[in-house]
Formats: sequence, C-alpha cells, structure tokens
Amino acid sequence: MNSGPPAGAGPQSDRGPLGRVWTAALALLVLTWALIAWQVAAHREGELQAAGRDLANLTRLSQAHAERTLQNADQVLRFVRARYRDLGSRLDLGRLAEQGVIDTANFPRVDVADPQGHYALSSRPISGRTSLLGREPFKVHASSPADSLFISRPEPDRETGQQILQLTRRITLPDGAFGGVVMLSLDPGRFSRFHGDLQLGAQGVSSVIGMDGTARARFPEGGGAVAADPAHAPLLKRLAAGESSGAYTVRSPLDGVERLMHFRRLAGFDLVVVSGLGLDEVLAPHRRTRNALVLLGSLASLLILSLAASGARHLRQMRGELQARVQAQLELQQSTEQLRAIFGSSPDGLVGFDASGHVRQVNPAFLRMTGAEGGDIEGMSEAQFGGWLSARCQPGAGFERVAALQAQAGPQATSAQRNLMIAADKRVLQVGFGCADGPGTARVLAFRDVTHETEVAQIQSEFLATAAHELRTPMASVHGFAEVLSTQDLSEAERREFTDIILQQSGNMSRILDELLDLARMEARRGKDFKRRPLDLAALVHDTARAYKPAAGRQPPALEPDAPPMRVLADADKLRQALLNVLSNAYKYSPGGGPVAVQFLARGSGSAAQVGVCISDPGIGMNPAEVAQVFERFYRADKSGRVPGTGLGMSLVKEIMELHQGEVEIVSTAGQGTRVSLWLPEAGPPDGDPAHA
Amino acid sequence: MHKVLIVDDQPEIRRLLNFTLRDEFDVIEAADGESALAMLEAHDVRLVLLDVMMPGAIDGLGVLDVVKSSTHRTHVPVAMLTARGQVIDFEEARARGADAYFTKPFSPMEVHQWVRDRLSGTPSPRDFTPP
Repeated sequence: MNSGPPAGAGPQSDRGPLGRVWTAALALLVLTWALIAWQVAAHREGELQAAGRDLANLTRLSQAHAERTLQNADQVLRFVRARYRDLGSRLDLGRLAEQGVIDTANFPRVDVADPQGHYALSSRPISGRTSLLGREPFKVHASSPADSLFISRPEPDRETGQQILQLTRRITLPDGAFGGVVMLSLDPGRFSRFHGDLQLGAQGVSSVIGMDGTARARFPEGGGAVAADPAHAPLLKRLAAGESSGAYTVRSPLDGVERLMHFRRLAGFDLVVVSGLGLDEVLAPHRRTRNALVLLGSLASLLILSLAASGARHLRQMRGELQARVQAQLELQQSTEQLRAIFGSSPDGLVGFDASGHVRQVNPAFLRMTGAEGGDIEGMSEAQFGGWLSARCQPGAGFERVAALQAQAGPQATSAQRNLMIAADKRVLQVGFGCADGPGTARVLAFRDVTHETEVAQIQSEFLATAAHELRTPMASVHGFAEVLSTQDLSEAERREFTDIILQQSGNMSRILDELLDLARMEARRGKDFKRRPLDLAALVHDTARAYKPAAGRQPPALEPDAPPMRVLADADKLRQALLNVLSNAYKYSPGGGPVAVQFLARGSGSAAQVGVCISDPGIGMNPAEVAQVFERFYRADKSGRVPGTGLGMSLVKEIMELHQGEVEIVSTAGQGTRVSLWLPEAGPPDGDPAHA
Repeated sequence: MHKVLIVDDQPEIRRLLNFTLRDEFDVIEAADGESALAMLEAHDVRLVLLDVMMPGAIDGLGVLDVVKSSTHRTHVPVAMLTARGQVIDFEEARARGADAYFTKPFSPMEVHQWVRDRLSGTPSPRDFTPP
C-alpha cells in the first residue's frame, strides 16, 4: 500500500474528491474511536456499578454479621450481669463456659470486675491480681452511670497475648451505685474470618471501625495498628455528616492501592463496617474488554485507512486517466483544427464524404474550381454529387461515379486518378480518390487544377508536330529531287537547278535544326551558359552592322553616327545573334528595297535605366494580329514562301533578350514597314566607381 | 492530256511534281487553297495533288471537302501530300474522302505511278479503300 498521509497528498492534488476521501476517513476514525471510548467508559461505569452493588451487599452482610456477633456478645454480657446480680460471687463462669452457655469459641473469656477494679469472676482461671482501674473500659463505666456497651480497641490478651476486643457493661447496684464491670473478650478474628469468607479479592479490605476512626477489627489482619488509618478520613467526614451508609473511593496511603469503599453503620453500636475492593481488581475484566475494544478499534482504523488509501489511489488514477483523456482530446482538437486549416488553405480542391456516402466538407479551392456554392454541394449523396459534377463537365471528359473511381482504385490501392474538363471555362481538373483504412470520414476526392500543365503539354505536342512538319517540308524537296537526279536523264541546267534546290533546302533544314537546338538549350539552361561581360552595346551594334553583308543590290544598314558608349552586361555572341536575326528580317521583309536604319535609344533612370537599339525597315510590315504572332515558333510573316527562313528567328531574339532581362518591342504597319527595338538594362560603371567611367 | 492540279505553298515541291508529271499530263499549279478552288472552277481538272498545311483561309482539307462535296467533281481523285504523318491525319483524310495519301518526303516516282494508274483506271496499291 503506497498511500501517503492524508495531509501530504502533494501540491498538485486538488481539494476535491481526494480531500473528501481523506476527510471522510478521518471522520470515520474519530467516530470509531469516540464510540470505543464511550463503550469503554460505559463498560467501566457498568463494572464499577456492579462492583459497587456487590460491595454494598457484602458490606450489608458484614454489617449483619457484626451486629449479630455483637448482639450475641451483648446478650452474654447481660446474662452474666443478671446472674451476677443474683448470685454474686457464687456465679461460676467456668461452669457456664463448660456448659456451653458461654460460647467460648467466640468469646474466649468472660470476666466480672468488682468496683475496686479487681477480677471478681472469670470464665478462665485468674492468675495474680491485676487492677483494672487504669483501664479505659473500667474508667468509662465507673465514671458514667449509663448502661451502654463499650467496645474497646484491640489490645493483647493479658494471658495469651492475642489481640482481643473487650466488650464491657456497667454493673449498677440497686441503689444506683457502681457495682463493677462485666467484661467479654471477643476475638477480632471472628470478623476477620468472616470477611475473609466474603471473597473481597486480593486487594479487598474490610474493617470494623469505631466512631473515633480506629479499627476494632480488620481484614486482612495484621498491622495491629491502633492509630487511626488516614484512609478513613473521608469516611469519618461522611459519618460526621450523619450518613449511616455510603460509598467512596480512596487511595490508601499505606499500600498505595486505590479502592472502592462502602460503609454501613451498625445499628445500636458506635461502629461502622467498611469494605473495600481494589479498583484494579474490580476493573480487571473491564481492562480485558477495553483491550479487546481497542484492538477492534485499531483493526477498524486500519481498515478505514486502507480503504481510504486505495480509494485515494483509485481517484488519483482516475484523475490521471482523465487528464490524459483531456490531453488527448486537446491534441485531437488541435490536429483537427490544423487539418481544417490545411483543408481550407489547400490549393487542391477537396471533397470529403462521411461514412454514409454524403458530402460532408467542401473546401474553398474546390468551390473556386467549379464555381459552385458550398451550400449547394454539402449533404449531397455520392450519386447526386456525381451527377452534379458531370453536368458541369464537357461530354466525354466528365465525371463518373465515385464508386467507379473507387473500383478503378481496386481493393488494395487507395488512390486513383483521372482527368475531367469543366465545360464553363475549359478548366482541366485531375480528380484523385483517396480512401483511408479507418471506418469514419474516410473518402476524399481531391481535385487538382491541371489546366496549365495540360496546356503546356498540348503546346509542346503542337510544337513537336510543327517542328516535324517544318523539317519534313525541305526534306521532301531534298528527297524528291535527289530521286529525280538519280533516276532520270537531265539536262545540265536542270541538274544544276535541282542540285541548288537540294543544297538550299538541306541548308534550310540545318538552320532549323540549329535554331531549334539553340532555343531548346536556352530554355533548358535559362541563360546559365551565357558568358556575360560588361560591354558597349553601341560598339557591338556598329561591328555587327558593318560586318553584315546584305543581298546584292541592297544598301548596308544606315548606322546612327557618334553614338555614346552604352554599357550593358551581356553575352556578346548571343547579342550579336539576336541583332543579326533582326537585321536579316529587316532585309528579308523589305523586298522592295529601301534603307534599313539602326538607331540607339535610352530611357528610364537609376536602376530602371535601359539602353536599346532600334532597327527599322520600309518593308511589307504586319497587321496587329500578325504582330501578336511574331514570337510564335515557325510563324512566318511571308506566306508566299518566297522569303526564306525558319520561323524561329524572332523566337530566338525574344528568348535571348529576356534572358538578359531585356525586352523586344515591335511597331509595325502593314505595307509601311517595321521597327524592332531591343532593350537591355543599363549596367553601372565598372566596380561601381564613377571615376573609371 | 489529263489536267492535273498541284496545290502546295512550297515552290520547290510544285517544281518537283511539275517536272515529274509534265511529260504525260497537263500540269497546273496553285500556292494556296483559294487559288486552288479558283483553278478548279476555271479548268477541267481530272486529278488533284493537295498539300494539307497551307497559309490562308482554306487549307488542304478544306479544298478536299469542296471537291468531294460538289456533285460534278466528286469523282475527281485527290491525293493528299503532307508533312503530317500521324495516324489521326491519315484517318481524317480518308474519312473526308481522299483517294490517296503521301507523306513528305515522298517518292516522286510513286506519285507519278499513282497518278498514271488512277487516270488510266488501273487499281493502285496506294488507293484508299473506301471507309
């Protein structure tokens, strides 16, 4: 049992159930012990009362015995006195004793003393002359004419030396004069033996006491003390108060024993019978009972404590479990809130179904994708939801049943995917089916907007088809004329013409491949392979334009003279390629001739400062729709096929400029010509030091 | 001599086919869909070699549709010449009534043989079976 003390339940223990358990235990303990104490007290009281009753009875018996004994003795005295008055010295007391008139067993001697204090008669032989004048009984009777029984204190018999009590009466002569004293010896043992028979116990005492407080007889015998026993002090007080019987408790100063005492005054005698029982003895059975009760109480206390302790432990356990449960609930709530936040903020559309197959949750992303209201969908069954979603899809690319998705996922797999297209805005949604193992809201449909990805894939696919077409077209000429050359007899002129076409078309193919590869590489590397150096754009444009060899009969580009240095950070080769493409287009699309002009530009300031070069031609120009298509791959401004080209040139220019954080601007009017401006960010002075600019 | 119309935006291809067919047939050329339709109206064309991808409002398939939907020209054989080589294009041309399909690069002699067979009523392995 690991129960702590009730008060030390620890700071974390609340004052609630745990405190109440211990309070109840404490109350039970108090109650138990109060009951036991009351029982013990009651039992003790009962024992004492019973002992008191016994003692009273015993004392009454003693009283009766003492009264009878004394009355017997008095009768003998009166008889002897009467006979003595009649017979005088002729009275033979010895004979009376022998005859049994005088009970010598109890009254060993009977004497008669003359008024002079000498033994006149005796039931036993008289030896010597002893004067009784000084003796107390003699003095009492001689001095007082009253006829009263006098009982002496115990004193040793003058012959046997035994302690005896002397009972005496006055002999009054007919003229009223003092005629002597009748004396009777009484063995105090007569009282003692009787008292012994009363079974007062080892500590029991019994005495016959005179009104003066001295004992006439006592049990147990011994001591022989004539002096007043101080233990009788309370008794004497009671007697002085006029009580004739009563009980009291006193501790004897002689043997230190506390006793229960009872006294009764003898009727007709100035004597009191006192009996006492040792309190220890009286209460001995009570002590056994008390011990048994205390043992019982201790066992009960132990039981209460152990019950309380186990109760407290149980409570603590319960509290621990409760706290754990509360904690778990808190964590669950947190994770639920987290999930809800994830659900709400997910870019993917999510639709959760409950166990009965009804829509339970719809997140904002799904509503955005489908343009629906949350209230419309929530609560729908799977079939209703399937129908609702299908109605919004394009035919053939619609949503089947949730069950179909689940079936597609198979019994083992937990997810399946398919694409569907929302008719309204041609959005392509990829729908996935998720199913958790648990039995609850386990099924979730996830919708991802893959419109962009799909478009990119479509664009790439179309680009591939276009590229293949663009390559197959020159290939058709090369292949066809090669076959003609190898199978037919041709004139020299035809042979030259066809060979030229083959050379030209295969060159065309080669250029297409080069430019495609350039574009692909630039797109893949995103300019990482550019060798950017600080350079002067004006100088680069000058060098490039001067080196450009236009077709026969055309003027070289007209350069703006005296251009200031234009600092840019660029890959010179790539920039030259872009310039050449633009220059080449300017000449190609101005078949009617006319000057191709090159001018320098600057705009903005600070970090937004840009420098640029503008190439303009007086050529065929483009309408706005055509301008919008210029950067599309394989777009050709010339539909006649008379202008050679790959359709990739402007795509490359745009790519190169944008990878330099630059721009391409085209201003064109159909039939009037085109202006192409290439812009680049102006670079700061080298090392940021204007002094070196 | 039967009149054969060649429609292609590439002058080299027109030159190649013209050179191949000119000895046996009366070859006329168009560079886009509109001029092809004009030529069909203006001439008694007996066979058309038709490029699919061409600039302009009407592409090769558009021209094919016009030919095959006009009652008096529906018998005119049309062969599609195209850089497209995908199955879906092949099937589409066939579904819309094309009689043959040549993928660029093609063999001029094979085209020549098909035109010859077609105009002489000889079955050719290049012919589409009707869908």
